[in-house]
Amino acid sequence: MVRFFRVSKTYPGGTRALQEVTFSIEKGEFVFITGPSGAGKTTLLKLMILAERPDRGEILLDGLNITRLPPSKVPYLRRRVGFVFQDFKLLKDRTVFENVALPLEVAGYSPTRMQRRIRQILRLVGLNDGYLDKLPQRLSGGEQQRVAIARALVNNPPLLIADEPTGNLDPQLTTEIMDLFRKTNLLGTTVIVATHDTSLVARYGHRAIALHKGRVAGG
Amino acid sequence: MKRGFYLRQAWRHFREGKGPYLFGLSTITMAFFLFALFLMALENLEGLISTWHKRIQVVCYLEGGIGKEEVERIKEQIAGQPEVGALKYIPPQRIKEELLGDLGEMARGLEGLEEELFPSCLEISLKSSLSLASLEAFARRMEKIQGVAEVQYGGNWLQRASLLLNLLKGGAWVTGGVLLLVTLLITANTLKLVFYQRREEVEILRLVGATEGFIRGPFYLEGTVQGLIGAGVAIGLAALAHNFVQTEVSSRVYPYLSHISFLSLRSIALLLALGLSSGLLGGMISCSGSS
Repeated sequence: MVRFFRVSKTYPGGTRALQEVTFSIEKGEFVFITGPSGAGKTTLLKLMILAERPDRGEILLDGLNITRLPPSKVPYLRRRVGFVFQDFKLLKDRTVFENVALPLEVAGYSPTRMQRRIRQILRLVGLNDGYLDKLPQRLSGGEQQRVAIARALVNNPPLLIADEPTGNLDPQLTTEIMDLFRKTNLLGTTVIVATHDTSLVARYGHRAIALHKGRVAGG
Repeated sequence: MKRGFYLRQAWRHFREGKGPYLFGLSTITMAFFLFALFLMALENLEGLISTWHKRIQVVCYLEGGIGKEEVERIKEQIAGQPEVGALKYIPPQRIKEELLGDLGEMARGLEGLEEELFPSCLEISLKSSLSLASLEAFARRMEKIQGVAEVQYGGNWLQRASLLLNLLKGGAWVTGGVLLLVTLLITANTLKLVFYQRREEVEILRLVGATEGFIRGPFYLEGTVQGLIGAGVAIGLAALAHNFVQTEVSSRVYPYLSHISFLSLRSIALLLALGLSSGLLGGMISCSGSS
């Protein structure tokens, strides 16, 4: 599903984020990307959706070499990848429905299909129809992250990427969100979770790719 | 679907940035209003000059003491010219009467003047209005006819009026250009502010796979609508001003003002097109360099 071959990335100013990173993730796998802050986890995830471009190396996503993908094709790549952030990145002035609807609006769904799909996905992440018209600010952290996950999954992407998705949550909510990722993975979606929390990795026992100072240290 | 999203987004942007939008819109409206008044004045002046031009008569003054047969010969020669529509002979007696009539009180003592002192003339009405150059050439041809002493057609006066009209037309182009630039800058700055306010939303839209066209569409729409509304309201204000001048001002100040006509359809279309294109360009500029 995802292949990195000798990928390097240096930011302007000389910060080396990734150096010669090579790994491979199979379709349907659940993989952790681990490492301390500054190890290059976020850069690695950003490269997968071309929010950043590598300086060297090749990245293959579902067989497609995205390294030289023209900018006009990037949006279509991103529609095949769901992204979950630590800070949820929900629009505060939009209801739960409107937030989850964004990827469907972008993909050109009809209002009827959109309604059906949003109700379905909210039920999957454990939120009933009563949440549809609520604003994110009126939800708890766990509920906000569920909405963010619903938004990432709503147009059925084959790949789900999460950057420190439990970083702002207490242990109880962390377990609930991780269970949600596991459930998503069981439904066939490839899941990649970046975290610095080693206890989380140990508890779930999935394969982990460890990064240290921009290099693969294990996995 | 996309259209619905654009409209909802544009409306949302307007609700959140009402202040800058209304400020921008009122400035655009004011600029277009002034331009509409200028165009209206220009069109009316053009109409006036064109009417004068159409009604222009060429007057050929004949040499003194000319006989009837000679007058007939000259009339025949002039009537044979392709430009001539109608021809009228004015005898010296009529000219004397008209002069005395025009002078009124001041003509006292002139009644005794002999009619022979006044020249007779031929008034030529043209078939269709001629350009200044053709008119001049026609007058020169008339001057060459034997028995014609002098030809008058108001060429200098018409030339000056046409020059003034051309200058004003040039001014209209310059003003139009400045207006386009002003609208463009106001729209671009207003929308740039809105774009900046919505940067988080734009970032999320990009992450969920929105194309640049999808993200920028609402801003283009907002710019276009802002320009169109600005031009439309300005045309409405110009219509009110025109109505006010025609009814109120003309009856109290100068009756001729009641003949002033409103903007032609061409000018209305020009103003709307100017509003639309400058608004659209402003919207495009507001998002440029943001990807």
